Amino acid sequence: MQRTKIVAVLATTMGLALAVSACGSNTTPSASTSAAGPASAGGTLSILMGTATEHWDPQRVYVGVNIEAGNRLFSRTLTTFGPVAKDGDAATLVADAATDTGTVSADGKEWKFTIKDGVKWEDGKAVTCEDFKYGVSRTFAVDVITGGPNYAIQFLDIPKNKDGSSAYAGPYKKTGQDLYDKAVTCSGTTITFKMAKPTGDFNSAATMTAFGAFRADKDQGDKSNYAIFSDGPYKLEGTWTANKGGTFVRNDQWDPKTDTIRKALPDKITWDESLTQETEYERLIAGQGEDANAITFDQAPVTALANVEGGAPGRNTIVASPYTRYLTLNYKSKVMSNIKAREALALATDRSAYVAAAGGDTVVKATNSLINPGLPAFPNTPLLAGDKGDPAKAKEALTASGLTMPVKINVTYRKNDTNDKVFSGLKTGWDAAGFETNLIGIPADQYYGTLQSPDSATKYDVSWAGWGADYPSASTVIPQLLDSRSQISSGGPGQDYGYFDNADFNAAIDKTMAITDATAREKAWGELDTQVVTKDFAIVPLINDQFVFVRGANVEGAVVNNTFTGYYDLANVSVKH
Amino acid sequence: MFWFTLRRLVSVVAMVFLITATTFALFYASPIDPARYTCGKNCTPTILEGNRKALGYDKPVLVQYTNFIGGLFVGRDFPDNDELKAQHPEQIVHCPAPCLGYSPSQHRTINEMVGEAWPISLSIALGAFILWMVVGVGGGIVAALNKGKWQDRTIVGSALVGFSLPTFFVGLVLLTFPAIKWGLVPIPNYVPFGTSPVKWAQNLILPWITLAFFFAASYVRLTRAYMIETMSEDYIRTANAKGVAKWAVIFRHGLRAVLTPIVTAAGLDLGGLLGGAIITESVFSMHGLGYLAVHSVTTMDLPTIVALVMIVSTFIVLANMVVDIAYGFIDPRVKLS
Repeated sequence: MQRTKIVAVLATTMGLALAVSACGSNTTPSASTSAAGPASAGGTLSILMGTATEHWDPQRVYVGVNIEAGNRLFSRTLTTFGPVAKDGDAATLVADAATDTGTVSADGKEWKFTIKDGVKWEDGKAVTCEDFKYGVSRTFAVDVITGGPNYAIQFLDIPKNKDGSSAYAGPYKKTGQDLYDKAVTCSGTTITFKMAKPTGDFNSAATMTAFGAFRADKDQGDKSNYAIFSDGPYKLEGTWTANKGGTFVRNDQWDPKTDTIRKALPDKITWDESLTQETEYERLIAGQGEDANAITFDQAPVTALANVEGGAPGRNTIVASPYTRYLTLNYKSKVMSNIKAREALALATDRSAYVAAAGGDTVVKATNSLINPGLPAFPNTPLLAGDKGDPAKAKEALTASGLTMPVKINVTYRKNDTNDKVFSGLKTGWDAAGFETNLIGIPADQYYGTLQSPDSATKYDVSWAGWGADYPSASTVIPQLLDSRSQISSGGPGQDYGYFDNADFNAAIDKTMAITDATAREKAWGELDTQVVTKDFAIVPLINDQFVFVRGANVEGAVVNNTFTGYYDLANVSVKH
Repeated sequence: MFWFTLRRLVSVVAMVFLITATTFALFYASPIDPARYTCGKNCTPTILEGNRKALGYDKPVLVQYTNFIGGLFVGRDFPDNDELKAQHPEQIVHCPAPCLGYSPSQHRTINEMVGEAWPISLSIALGAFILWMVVGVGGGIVAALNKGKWQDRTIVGSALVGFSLPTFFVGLVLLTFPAIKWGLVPIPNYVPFGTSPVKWAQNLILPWITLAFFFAASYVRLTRAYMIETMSEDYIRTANAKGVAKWAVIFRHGLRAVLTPIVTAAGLDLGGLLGGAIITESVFSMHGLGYLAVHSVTTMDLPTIVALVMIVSTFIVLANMVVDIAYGFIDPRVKLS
């Protein structure tokens, strides 16, 4: 889920805020209504979108919508998360193209998967171990296969060059091919991945299409971006047109006996992404004609929010988004390198002001955990001083820091109307505790680029940020945001915007990554989350926001799978006809 | 006339190159790194550098600009990577001259994208142009000939309403009620003229009305004002006194004098619209040049932005040139030299 998605989520949050403040609580969507119902085979499902698909190439897909839709329609992965019966249920990790969810060696450094018999490409050829091996190798061609997740580069036991790049340059240049061939091997239908470090949840990472199969003879590099070649229940009819979409029809080579996940009920699925989000929601809410058979993966825009409940009763879904908004405190700043100052800021943070400015607790929820509530690792860390903060207690901590009062801090955030209000509210609490807060709003296009520039290392004491897990494991949260070894370099802080660099914490990350028992591992991630929030005060979690969706009246089985990307799951969707 | 046209054409070419050079320079002066838009979420400095190289943004701006200009005359290959060309020619996209570039965000040549978008913008612009010229100029003439009467007040009042309502509002109202809620016309979805002229028109009627509603208003006022002035001229009075037919007085003598300012305004308006009606195309989800421009800007798609700036500016300067040439035909007092 790329940052562009985060922008969309923020826009939704802003929209919710506006709708609530403009219309009062009676017009605010407040209930989630499930579309689970009897399944009807056949018919045409229409997907209306206002967001363009950047990539369909499995190794380049990194947006939740496309991970989910790609997997359910045409790109089977070794493992996946099964569909759920109702919104909010937790999904379980299941085998997809593999016979099981993988076996890991005792040291956690070797994973094996066996490909099922009968899984075929749309031209009837069998999906082989070599196809999976080739698919994963494409991630290493970072000069051609751009934009996708880089977990394969991070995880696999392939040496790195001095500049941090992999010694394997991908299947086109073939530099370091022998290194890759040692790290990923095929024996019959069994593929083996050798990890650089113990990686207990590699089988969860394997749910991403980046670890999916790709036929070498179909690879045309960048030209393959929209050239869908299916091993799932649907295939593309004709070609995909960027910003317009395409039509998926049944893949007659797909054998339902090999697939316990996808019901593949509609005969045809049309994907129209030529719309604006406003038009899309006007049509979904009106639900006339063919639009009664439509769903969307876009969240309701500002203009539609006030109409969602009244205009589409029983056809809307409001669920927690996979994102968390938080503050990162800069260890390179003179002020925030002082732990007492960090503690003071955490104590003085008035989340109730954030919630009020963002539209109320229907649309955002205060949190004190970096890990999203949708993840098994969510520790639900209690707020340090209630949702309003405790300026008096914070002042004591700030006085103990030895810094000269008032303590001047530069706080930066991604500028928009809602965040202007939010940070104005937060400033009041911080200033009451003895800080003298200087707010710096940075335009959205430049925000993360500015934070990640080495030139910004000491400019900001506190920065706002947002993050959502790539797959339902906190392995895609804690290490991605706080492992200084993989994030901080001479080129900038990566996602570790606060330059948090703690050797013990990094060691704890390695230890947790090595745990193969999922429950124990996620619990350990939760503990690290609590530590960084309540002991190190490196992160101040703020809120979780909500997704709002509308669907047509004839759509059945449209359930949001919070575990698997947080969008409508296409596995069980059908159209009443 | 020939030398005048030639001189203007040379200045058109010079102006277009100047505009593209300025666009390149401004783009690089901005603090935004376009490579970040393709780098994914877990973007490390190493991968960012790889992306920058893949997109060609690692090359000096002058080299990039020279490559762009060269592509217009001799075509280009994408990616411009000799190693890849030798080992994997199947991955190379050839863009023949005049090559406008390759969009890394849409994974297609800009020629293909413009080839798809241009007929949509052209269809919207021409249909709306005809509609607003008929309604605007016709309304202006009727209002002028009935100065002070109820017809005049009604037409001028309507023009004021049309002018004051923003395009996005008119567009949204037309889309929401006649199309989505009442189903009187199809929800606009472009159908090529060659596929079905009837469906082409049905799907474009709302964008035409939206644009015409706005533009016609200014033409009503413009035509009315010049027509009132012209109709009080001595030569019109003389024509009337000589018993020339009323229609001939109005159209042959009156309207001809009014045409110069109308043609000036119409040429510039049409020239701008041919480069895409951004708001109208966005409201009706018509993927013309205007929509393409918005999408390119929001994704920092430099090659597409530069190509579109070049195309739009070419339309505008060409429209200016055509208007200048048209003066020679419309107004006998004007000599082109």
